[in-house]
Amino acid sequence: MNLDFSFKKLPPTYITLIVIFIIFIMLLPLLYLLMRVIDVNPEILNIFFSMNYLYIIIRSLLLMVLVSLITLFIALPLAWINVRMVLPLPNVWAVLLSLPLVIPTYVGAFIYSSLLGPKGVLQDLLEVLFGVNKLPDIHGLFGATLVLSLLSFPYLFLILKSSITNLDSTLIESSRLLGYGPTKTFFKVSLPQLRPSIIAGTLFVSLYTLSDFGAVSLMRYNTITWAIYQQYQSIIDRSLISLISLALVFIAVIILFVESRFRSKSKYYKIGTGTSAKHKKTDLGIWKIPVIFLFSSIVFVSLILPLSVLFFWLIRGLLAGESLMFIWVLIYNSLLLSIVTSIATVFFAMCMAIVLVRYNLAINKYLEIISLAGYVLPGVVVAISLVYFGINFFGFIYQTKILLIIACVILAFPVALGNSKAVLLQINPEIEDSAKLLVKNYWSVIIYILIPIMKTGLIMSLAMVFLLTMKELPATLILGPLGFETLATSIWNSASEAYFARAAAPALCMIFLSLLPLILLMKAEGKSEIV
Amino acid sequence: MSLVLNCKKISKYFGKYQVIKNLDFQLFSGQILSILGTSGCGKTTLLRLISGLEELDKGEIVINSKTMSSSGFHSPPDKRNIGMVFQNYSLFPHMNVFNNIAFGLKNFNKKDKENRVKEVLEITRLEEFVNRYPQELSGGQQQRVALARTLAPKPTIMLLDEPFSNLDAFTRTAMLADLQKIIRDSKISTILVTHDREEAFATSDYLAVMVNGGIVQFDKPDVVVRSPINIDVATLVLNCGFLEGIINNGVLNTTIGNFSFKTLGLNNTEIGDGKVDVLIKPEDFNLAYDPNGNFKVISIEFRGMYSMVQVQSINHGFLLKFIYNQKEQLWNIGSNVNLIKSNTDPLIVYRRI
Repeated sequence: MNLDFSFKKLPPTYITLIVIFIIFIMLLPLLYLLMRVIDVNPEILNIFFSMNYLYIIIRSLLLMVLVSLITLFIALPLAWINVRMVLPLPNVWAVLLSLPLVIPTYVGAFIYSSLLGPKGVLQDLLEVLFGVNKLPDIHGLFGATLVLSLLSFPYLFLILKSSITNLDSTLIESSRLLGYGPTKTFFKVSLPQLRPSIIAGTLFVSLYTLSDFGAVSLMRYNTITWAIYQQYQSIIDRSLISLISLALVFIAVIILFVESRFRSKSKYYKIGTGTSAKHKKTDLGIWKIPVIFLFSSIVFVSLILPLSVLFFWLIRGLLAGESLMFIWVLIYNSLLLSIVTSIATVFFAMCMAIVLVRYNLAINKYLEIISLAGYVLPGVVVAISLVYFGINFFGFIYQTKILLIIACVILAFPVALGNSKAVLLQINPEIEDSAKLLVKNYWSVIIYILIPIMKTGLIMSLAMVFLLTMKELPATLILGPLGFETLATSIWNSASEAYFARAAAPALCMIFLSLLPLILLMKAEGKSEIV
Repeated sequence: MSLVLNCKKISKYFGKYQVIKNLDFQLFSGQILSILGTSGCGKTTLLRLISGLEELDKGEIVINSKTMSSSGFHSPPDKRNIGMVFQNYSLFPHMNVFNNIAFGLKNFNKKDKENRVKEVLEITRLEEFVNRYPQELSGGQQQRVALARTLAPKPTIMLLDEPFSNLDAFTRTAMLADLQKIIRDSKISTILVTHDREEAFATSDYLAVMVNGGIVQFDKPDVVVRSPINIDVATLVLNCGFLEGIINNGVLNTTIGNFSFKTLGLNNTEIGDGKVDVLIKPEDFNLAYDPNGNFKVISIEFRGMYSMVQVQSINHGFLLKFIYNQKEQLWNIGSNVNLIKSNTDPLIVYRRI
């Protein structure tokens, strides 16, 4: 990897080649969609514009809006109280409220349907106690919204928590001194300052919901991604899939565009230099008990309840003679996929970031837009397009793990790129130049100066990609070589046929495997807050 | 002149650490008070206590004969009508200059609001920037907006926390004069906190020197400079050093000679015999080449009209800066020199505690 960041006109050849390769694989899904759309005949168009597909799009949008709003209403108060109010053990609460992040939505979906669904645990219990033998079905919009909200609010919580921590508290104090009480100050000063991160965080949750496949499929809520998957499995003609996918991409691009408009208009960055006073936490007074109750109930429903249900099914399964032998293969496969993907993605992202940050090229703007592909394209679409290219052009890697890893790299690339850019921006080229003047050997500069500075950022990138890939489902389902099962696919296969007991062990394994990177991530984030 | 602020024996603890210790002082209407102290001495905390951003542990803060803080009572900052300019100015980035300044005028109708904003814009000479956003202004302009925003609601007291620390030297000099005029014109009682002695002297009617959470000396600036009450105050307000001296039968002996002396607040006879610290100010001495001298020349900076000569005490380690404007000099960097008393004023001595 080229770490010689001094300003030159063009990046070295090997970096250029790597960037060309990245752009090539990023463009594959888009290329595929466009190629397919050209094939569209009027008949397909008629089907697409039939009410059926319109409803699917509306259903997706409805779910997206509901989940975004609910997560915002959960995450904003929690983050605000966690940072700015006196609460016992604030860091423990922060960790507990972030942990639901490691539970994949399809695991959450099977947990809640096994708990609240017909013939579920709750109904069993109510039947014994009160003779209730029928509960309203939670499948559909309600179930999907519940699962996605409870499992995706931690993303927003983490984003908001860090921006509330970085909020300049003298702004709030100035407003108080100018005669505004705490409530008015919150709405007139704090909230406008938080707006960019509220928008960015909500955007993330919207796109996450839009591209979710696991929860909607298990909750049998027919959305775009679910429709794409069904089409993929049933029909030979793929142009309908492409149309639906394009609709999805179109929605995602509109959301991104609206966000960027908001961002460029706003003037929210910190002005002036100097230290902003440390946060003075407000005492909750009589509200302490209700607030702790609120925090506990959210931790209960989003973390403790799902974990307990998993343990319940695990024990029930073991008692019924489920074997745990197969699990080692699944763990091996999942780890292999996640680790290789993390390293590859971070390596590629670093190369791209070097070009974007250190070279002022005319095409940089387009490179950046293309890099976002994984952000707007759901896993299902990426996977289907790679199947096409695999079959038609790259037969030698079709049905191998390489194609699967490429899909995972495309999907995780935007996250890793954002992080790598931030890391590189931290390294002032002058630091490097001064190091070069002090040490003759450039390798010493890399080992003693650059790697220590970048370490935290690189660990964060690796951990994020690992977490994403560990949970990745649709690409693995579609692209995995025959007989290749990961924890994710095994959970989905068992859960979609309601073998909950069989899904419990892999689900628990996946959650525990995800804990380590999450802890690394939170630690690294804590460090970067101090800097 | 009426009493605006009365701090009665106030104390503040952060955990076990007492940041403000039994502090006592008054501010009268229209006065400008500078609080001088090293960083960490509690001066910012004092401002935050007065403004109500921090709660008091002991004592009482009375503003315009109303108790605002006491050990059991705390009036919130939005009910005190106290203005504060923060070190980082803390302008609202999402509002333009007009809205920043009008922010505190919440009970004004539209017309009055516009008039008042116009008034303070004029005082602070910001008329042309009214539609700009804070990040489109220079440091000095941002500070004037912060000042205008604070002045607009006509606060009872205005607090300034290290107002010049984020400005470059050139802007700082310009703002120092500006600030003084703005405060005088608006007739608002002001407390300015700083660690820079020149800022403290330039702007204030009174000077309070703060050491370790307490006010050690409170007087007019020239009085403090002429008679610093103890070593800490002298170090803060003067370019000076301390030599060890011995008083023997009413005579002060030091390594650079015997001198007449005076003590502050005591008769010379009261101090008795024994070791004292002698305040050495460059104004009282000339430099003379002396191979056996107790001082060494560390640096000579040519400044055009004069040279700035820095010498270090060989025995005590302190540094003194001398202005030297004679053409001939017998010494160079590294030479030993001695100090020769250039006037007949008695030297100030402090009793060892």
